[in-house]
Amino acid sequence: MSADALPLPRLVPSQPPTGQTEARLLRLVDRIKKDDVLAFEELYRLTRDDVARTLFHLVGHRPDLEDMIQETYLRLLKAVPGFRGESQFRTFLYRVCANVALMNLRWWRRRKEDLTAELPDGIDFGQDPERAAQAAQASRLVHRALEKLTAKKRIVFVYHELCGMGPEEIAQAVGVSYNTVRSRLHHARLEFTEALRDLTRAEVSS
Amino acid sequence: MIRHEVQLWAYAAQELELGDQRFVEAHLEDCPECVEQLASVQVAKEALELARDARPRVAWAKVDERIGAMVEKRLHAQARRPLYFRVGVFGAGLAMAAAAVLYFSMPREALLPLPSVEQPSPVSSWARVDRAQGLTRIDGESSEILDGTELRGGDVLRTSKVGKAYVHLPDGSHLRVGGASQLALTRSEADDVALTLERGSLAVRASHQVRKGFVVHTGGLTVNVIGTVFGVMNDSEQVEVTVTEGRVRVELPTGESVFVEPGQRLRFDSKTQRSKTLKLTAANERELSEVAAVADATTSVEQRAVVAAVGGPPSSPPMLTAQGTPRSLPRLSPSEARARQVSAPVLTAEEPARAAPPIEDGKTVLTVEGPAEVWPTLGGGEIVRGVPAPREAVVEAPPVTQPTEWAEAPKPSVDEWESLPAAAAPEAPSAARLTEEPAQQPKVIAKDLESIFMQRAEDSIQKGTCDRFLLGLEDIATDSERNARTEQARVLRARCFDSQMRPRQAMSEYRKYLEVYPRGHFAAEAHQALGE
Repeated sequence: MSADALPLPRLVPSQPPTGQTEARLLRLVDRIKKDDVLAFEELYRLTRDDVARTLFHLVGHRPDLEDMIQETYLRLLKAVPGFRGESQFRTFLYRVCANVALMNLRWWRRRKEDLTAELPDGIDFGQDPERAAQAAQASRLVHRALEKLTAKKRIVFVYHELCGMGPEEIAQAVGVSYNTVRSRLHHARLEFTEALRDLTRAEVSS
Repeated sequence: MIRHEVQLWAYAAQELELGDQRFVEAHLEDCPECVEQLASVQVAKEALELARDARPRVAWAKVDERIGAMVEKRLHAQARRPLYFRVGVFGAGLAMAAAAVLYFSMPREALLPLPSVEQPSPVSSWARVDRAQGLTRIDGESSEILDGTELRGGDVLRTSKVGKAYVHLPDGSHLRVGGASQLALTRSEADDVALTLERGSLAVRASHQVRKGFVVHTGGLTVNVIGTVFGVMNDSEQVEVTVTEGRVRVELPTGESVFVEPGQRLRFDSKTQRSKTLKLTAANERELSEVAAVADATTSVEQRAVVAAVGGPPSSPPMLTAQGTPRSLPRLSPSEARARQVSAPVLTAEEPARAAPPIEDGKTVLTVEGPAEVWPTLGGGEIVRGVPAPREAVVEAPPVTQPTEWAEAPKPSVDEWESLPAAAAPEAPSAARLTEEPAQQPKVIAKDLESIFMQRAEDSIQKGTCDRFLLGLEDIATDSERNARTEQARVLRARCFDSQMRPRQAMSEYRKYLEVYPRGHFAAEAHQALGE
């Protein structure tokens, strides 16, 4: 049977965040637009863990994660007045994260430093020690493999595979077309699998 | 080969449909190379699955502090705004003074030929009832509302079973309140509108003016308007949102957010908490086209009046002037002329604006499409030429030929706030009052945004800009954990309303305060404000 005859994959969007949270975020955004600073603080409390995890997945283990979080909220504070509610607020937030991550990835690429060679510290892998050890190993390999991807492919891949976003939502978050997302995702999958295979072989041989 | 891996990813991720999955499975039986690749893909998927749970440990205390400092910086930037405003106001004052000097220094004759009709201001902070039938305002005691009555944010309107009302909002939007309805104008500003439909029906033609928001709350739903013609109906069992132009975003009580497009009708069942999108009925369309037609007609008449006032085409009609009835319109009776004066200096309650003068011969009708029975009178009950009179009057009146006129609503001569008993009027807010509460230490903004917010809210009351803090104060006041701050937030809301000359809302806040804190720090103030 020819490979070309195989059916094309249909990308399935993941479940969106719960509507309750989204509605609450939108109400907070309305208040922020009215210069209600307290609402911004509440929004920060609600989203900071998600932002930190997303940035961590997008850029990997970096020493400047706190700076990135601050940069994200600074941009968000400036951008919220322009939010018109045409997309989910989380998508809007992920767009800000993507922009911050893109700048950070490019900056570190210019430095040409490999930050993922060591087992990352300061990462919580859960309570179960056995699973935590497996997760730590997997996380290190995944982030090293992600380093092989270009920044744009990496963001699309991470949003889909680690953050569980659908291609349409990624298209909104990244600001490209649906087909571009599909294309980047497919190439990223190939490159990631290849990189991970090489890393695994290298680990086994060493 | 590339296509293989892509499809294997989709297969491993279970993104393929059942038929396609079986197709790939059949292919795998004949392709050992593909099986090997699938194993790599599955390893990658498992690694991603494990890595997904990783959560970075962030020094949140440090990040909180830094982000707090960032917000503080922004607060300081906002705090500088009033200075600019003061400079702006001072500049505007100078400009007005110069204009006044210029006006009085010019020969009077030079001014006479210019029609000086006061133009309708779309940014007035007053909403206005264009036409009302069976409409009352709920303010402790129900008072009937006449055509031309001006409304403010916080007013609650109620229509009788057979009543209806057309209301013109400060942002240029038009409402039609149906029968047996109750509507609260929660916010009614030129750039911010919030309505609460307790029950009944509402049809809206929202203007396209740039504003902070236009929201309708009803039955747990929030309808966010994006420039549109839409209707909302709320009975005890279900809520319906209908749209004919533009679109609206509806937030359901379940937290979902739904867009309603033109031609659609969203029905939300209050019991089952389920929503359903349906097509518009003919009755829906008729109702919404009615409010749109009224809005268009009103806007058209106003625009024509403005054009004529600033010098329209030669055939344009002479306009009534602000100084009084011009001699060029001798056919107007004195009472009619008085009712049409733009800035009537004295108009007693015995001469309400709705006391429309009888239709005279020689008046013309502006040709505007739409159902004749729905035309509202403009500007507060005065007969507006160009707009058909009420049906019974039209029957009696012969065809008229005189052009359109427009005049603004007469201002009520008695200030309703002045008529309040002195004892009921709460004291002016003062900073000293807050000293009754245990003094709060000045805190670093990064650590306690709430106290900074309260401080700013208190300052804003004295500056008269406390509107934007009301929502936040309500959030604090309704906090489940009662403490000095929730107590103070309630009082600050009351003072804010008081400073904005909204005594009903202020008293309501004081009552809420006394219910929760009968022996609170501000109980004496609340009792005094309530006249107890």
